[in-house]
Amino acid sequence: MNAIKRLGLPRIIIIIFFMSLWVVAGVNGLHVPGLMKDSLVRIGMNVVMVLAMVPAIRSGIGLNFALPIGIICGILGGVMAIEFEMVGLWGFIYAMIIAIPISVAFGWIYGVMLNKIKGSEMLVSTYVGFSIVSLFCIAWIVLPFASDEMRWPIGEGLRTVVSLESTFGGILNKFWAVEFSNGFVIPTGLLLFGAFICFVYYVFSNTRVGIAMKTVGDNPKFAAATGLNVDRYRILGTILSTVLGAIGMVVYAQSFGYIQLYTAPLMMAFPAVAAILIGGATAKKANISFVIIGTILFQGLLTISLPVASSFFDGGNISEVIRMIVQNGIILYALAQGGGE
Amino acid sequence: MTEQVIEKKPQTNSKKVLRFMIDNSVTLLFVVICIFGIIASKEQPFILVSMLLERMTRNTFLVLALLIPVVAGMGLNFSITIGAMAAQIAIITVAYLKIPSVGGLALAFVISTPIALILGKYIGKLLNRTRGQEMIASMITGFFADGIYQMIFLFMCGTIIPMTGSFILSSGMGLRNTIDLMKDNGIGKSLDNIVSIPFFNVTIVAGLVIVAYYIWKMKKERPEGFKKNKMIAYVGIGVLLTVFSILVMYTKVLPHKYALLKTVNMSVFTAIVVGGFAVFNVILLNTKLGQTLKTVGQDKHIAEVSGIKVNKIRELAIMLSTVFAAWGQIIFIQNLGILNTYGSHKQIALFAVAALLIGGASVSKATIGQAFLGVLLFHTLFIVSPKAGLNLFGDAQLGEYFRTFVAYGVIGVSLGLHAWKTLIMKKNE
Amino acid sequence: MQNEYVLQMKNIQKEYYGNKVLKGVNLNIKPGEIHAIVGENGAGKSTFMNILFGMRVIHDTGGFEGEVIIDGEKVVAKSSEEIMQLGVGMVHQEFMLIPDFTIAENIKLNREITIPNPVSKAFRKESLEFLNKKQMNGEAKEALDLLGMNIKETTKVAILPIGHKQFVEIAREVDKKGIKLLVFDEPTAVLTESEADNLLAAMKRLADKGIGILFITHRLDEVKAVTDNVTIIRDGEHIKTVPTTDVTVEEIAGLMVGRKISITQNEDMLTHDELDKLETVLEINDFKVKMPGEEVKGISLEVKKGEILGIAGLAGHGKIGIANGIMGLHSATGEVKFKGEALEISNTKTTLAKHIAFVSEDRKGVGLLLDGSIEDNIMITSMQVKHQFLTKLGLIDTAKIRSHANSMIEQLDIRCTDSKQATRRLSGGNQQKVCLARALTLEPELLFVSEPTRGIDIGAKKLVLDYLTKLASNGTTVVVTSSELAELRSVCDRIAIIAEGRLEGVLLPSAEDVEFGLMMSGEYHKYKKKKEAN
Repeated sequence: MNAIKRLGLPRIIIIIFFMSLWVVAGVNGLHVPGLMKDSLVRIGMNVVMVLAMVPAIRSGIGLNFALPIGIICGILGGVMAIEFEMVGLWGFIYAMIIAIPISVAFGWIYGVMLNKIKGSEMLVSTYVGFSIVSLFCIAWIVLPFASDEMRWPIGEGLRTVVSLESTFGGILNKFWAVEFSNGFVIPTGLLLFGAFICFVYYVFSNTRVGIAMKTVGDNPKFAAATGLNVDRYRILGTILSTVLGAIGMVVYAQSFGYIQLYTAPLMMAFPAVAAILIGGATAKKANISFVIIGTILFQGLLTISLPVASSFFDGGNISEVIRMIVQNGIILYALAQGGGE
Repeated sequence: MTEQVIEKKPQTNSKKVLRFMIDNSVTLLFVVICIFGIIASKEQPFILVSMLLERMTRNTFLVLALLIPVVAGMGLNFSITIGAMAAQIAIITVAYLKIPSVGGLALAFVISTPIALILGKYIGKLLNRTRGQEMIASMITGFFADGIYQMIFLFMCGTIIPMTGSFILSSGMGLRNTIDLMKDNGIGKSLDNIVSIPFFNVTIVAGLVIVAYYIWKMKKERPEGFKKNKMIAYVGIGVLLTVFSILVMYTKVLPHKYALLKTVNMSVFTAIVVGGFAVFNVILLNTKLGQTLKTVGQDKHIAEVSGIKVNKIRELAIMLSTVFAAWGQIIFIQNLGILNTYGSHKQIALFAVAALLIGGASVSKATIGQAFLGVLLFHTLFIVSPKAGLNLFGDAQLGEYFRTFVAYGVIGVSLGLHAWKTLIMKKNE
Repeated sequence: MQNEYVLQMKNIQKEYYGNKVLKGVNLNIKPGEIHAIVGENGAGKSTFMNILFGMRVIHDTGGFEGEVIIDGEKVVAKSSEEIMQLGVGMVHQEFMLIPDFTIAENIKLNREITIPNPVSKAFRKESLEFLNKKQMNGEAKEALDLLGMNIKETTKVAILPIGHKQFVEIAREVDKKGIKLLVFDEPTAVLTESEADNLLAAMKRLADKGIGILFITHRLDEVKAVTDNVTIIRDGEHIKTVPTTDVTVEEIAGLMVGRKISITQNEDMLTHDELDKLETVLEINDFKVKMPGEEVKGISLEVKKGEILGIAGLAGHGKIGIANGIMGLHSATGEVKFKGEALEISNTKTTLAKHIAFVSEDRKGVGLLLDGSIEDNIMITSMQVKHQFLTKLGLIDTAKIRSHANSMIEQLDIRCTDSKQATRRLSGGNQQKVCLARALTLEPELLFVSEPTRGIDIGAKKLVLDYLTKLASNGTTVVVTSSELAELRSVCDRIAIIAEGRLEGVLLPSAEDVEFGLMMSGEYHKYKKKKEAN
């Protein structure tokens, strides 16, 4: 009974719905092991970006709709790896070495800005995110990249989608992967890396600084009375969120096998927001278990709903439509709970 | 005892100028960008004026639909997308039933209104539940509704909703991507074509009206100093406008590229409809309802304590905004002449909000003048960016990305500045 | 037929969860009478007003006993709108004005005068009618004239000085036709002297028109200046109602305070000589604090090592601001020296690091992480400031935290299921003990406690006060800020009284009631001067 109360009725409904979809999939003759593999992959590739929401919520800046800032830093890292032909695991690490310091810098600037607009963070951050993505649309055309793999054959600038096949595409997914005869594969490397990042964050949240940051987010007045510098911890939360966004993007890209430039990152914050909300978080409260539950539910739901829906509605790209409805419906529901102010 | 007149402390002129520049920084920056853009694009004046005129006539109504929620303290209504969807449902119905021309258009207005009212009511209720985060809620509501809209038109048309013929995709399910509203005497341009006059004939009259108005005002009020100079300047502008227009229309004195301006036509009827709507907004604010809207927008708590049903008023504000957005979208689509079933509604919220903010409005204050100015500036940039990008950087795409960046950036900066100012004001209380 | 009384409240009694806050208060006001109500904090004035105005909080907590009779008719109101319809208006302390609207628009808020038009007639909706600005302005002007205010009614409220804003508030009530009784709740608190004089003159003008005035105030000289009768309430009891001419300021002050026999004298209190011998541990010079609602306008005070110093004063006069300012929670200026060294008051962290701790008056807002556990709340300040409760690796040391929390739970008798329970679930008294436990974990040399016994039951009260006494006897200096004067007098060695943001004086607990009463009203110096003159 207690578990049900803790999870909350909406979540229980979603879990039951999720389970039933698997049953329907089996009944309709869909390739379940393949779908399970896809689910695991999608979970692994998104989990770090969902985790990026946690430091933001905990430090009091709410849901980080400006995740695209970190994502762009991750893309920069990946693009540099391709430019300098960094192959294999080293390419993956190189991408992160580039992405992380840039995301610290961007995160810091953005954090300073957020401190000036306390109370309106979510709305402004959405448009800051959009602006940065648009700005980089110009950058991808203008920046002097030389790699033939990335550039348009004729004309200026980088292509819309850039392949990671020659560099570090799939490097984590294939690492220690366990293949089963029925088509089911466990992308061990991917899941281990995700678990590792979650673990690191978990350790951080149990240090003095981590606890201080959470205190600031829980009750800024209390934190001030405890001698904590509220503004500084908010900036810390923003930086952490941006860095995790960058790391998350590198993980995502290597799993996907491609880097999507230009306008693709525009809406990438929303799935992460929806995932953590479905996992039980609110704009004021989040922890790692919400991240894991939420990512599993959200990505799993998306993975399986397409084939199931397609088996009913012949043809058509219904998955995208369902994703829009489910994702935005969840966020809306969460907003309607919390009265904001 | 003479009546005290309390006035603000008088400021030096330089301080006044500085304040003006800070308060209107976004607009001024934009004016500068536009001027650069126009020069860089090397566009022909008559093309520029013609496109700008067309865009202003078709877009301003939508931007004006944003005003009432701002007055009611609900911020920028990003969910006007949903009003646009209501309009599109109506347009699709009218086109499918092959109801032609102005009659079809009128029917579209009629059909879209109840749909928009009902949807608006529910959006209003939802926004009341998300008090304090209305703007982001309205944005996400727009996305959510888009999903449902796509669900209806991609999967329910031809199957659950019995439609047949050329409107349905070959697979038998889903509405076709584009609907040409010009053919078969459709509703395309039906409003525009009611009265279409060369633009510079209109400006002759407009210029004369301006001159007459300000001369009359000066006679009536007899202003002094700065105010007097302002009015004389307006009269001067009116005279210049009239003279220039006469030169364009009736003489061959001007160089060719300016002479071509006489080919620019204006859809007068549409313009009157838009102007009428603007006037309607002013009149509305002068009624008790308007005053109640303003009160709710200024201070919800005081309004509540004074006996105003705050939640109902907020719902009403959104209902009105959604209906007006629907009508605005109908005007927009009829001018385009073509409906993009799955995409025509997608960016209108972004562009309308950006335009309004560029005109100098903020989350808590928006006027009709700002709406018009904003549309003028925003669409000027829209028109010149691709060519300017091509001329400056050899890439038209760059120009397009730049204008999208500007649209997002303007909103981000505007919202940020507003939030910052509010915070500072709270601290000083 | 004119009724004899415009308002009668007979034998009003009210209980809040077993606690009797009003024990039979009577009030009678005639038309044209100016009647004052005076009393300390917690005397019951706000509850009394809430009853008069039919506020929901009264109904939701079991209603009240007694009768409210307005203009001869017994009234059982379910909402404040009903009372207002009967002609009773209230001028609040916090203005309900919209800054961007004109004076006239504010006066006519939601009561605008309108002209019908074709559309409004077609839809039959009054809300679509046009505003009749001319008439609205005209009536607004009349209301302003009545009050002797000569400002253009089309001025925007935002640029008005506070005194004028208050007049607009009053004008709004007066403009409501049929106003019979106007209640003023501490109206002069925010006004300058000349503005206050204007207000009193306006009150007299209104009374001359036959409007009854109920004047809640602590400024006894104002009571003497304009009122006809004064009612004194203390601890929910109706002490006395007298014609103002029959009573002196000193008498009122004395009646306001009075001494409770049930609280026992503190035997450990230091004598005058003992106090003089103690060294000064905290020196405050010209201290000003910008705390909204509790502004401190310049205080100089010395705190002696090992004493228990009480800070008393009426609500809103600044006593709460002192501790908040020293701890850096609100911006403050002035000089503060701790053990001879200057204290960086804006830096809370360094102040805490010097072993100065603070228990806030805002238990739930500032004092606790409501969703946090008891043990987390207790350890957090020491962890952040002194880096305690961490393992060698820098991680949180749950075992140490738990054992410390358990010992604190035992020491302070905190009633809970265990140390992991969320503080939200605890009763007020136990929450207060958690706050105290956190402060004590810091092992302070100087402890500020604000409103330590607010909202706690008798048993917990005694425990907290006893604990503070024990602390002091072990060498900790304790500064207690409290609205409950009687408690301070039972526990403190000295009591500083703050009135209107300044230090009115320091008294020993044994001083006479009159002295306390006068100091709290800010009348002390006038009284002293008069005494010396005699």
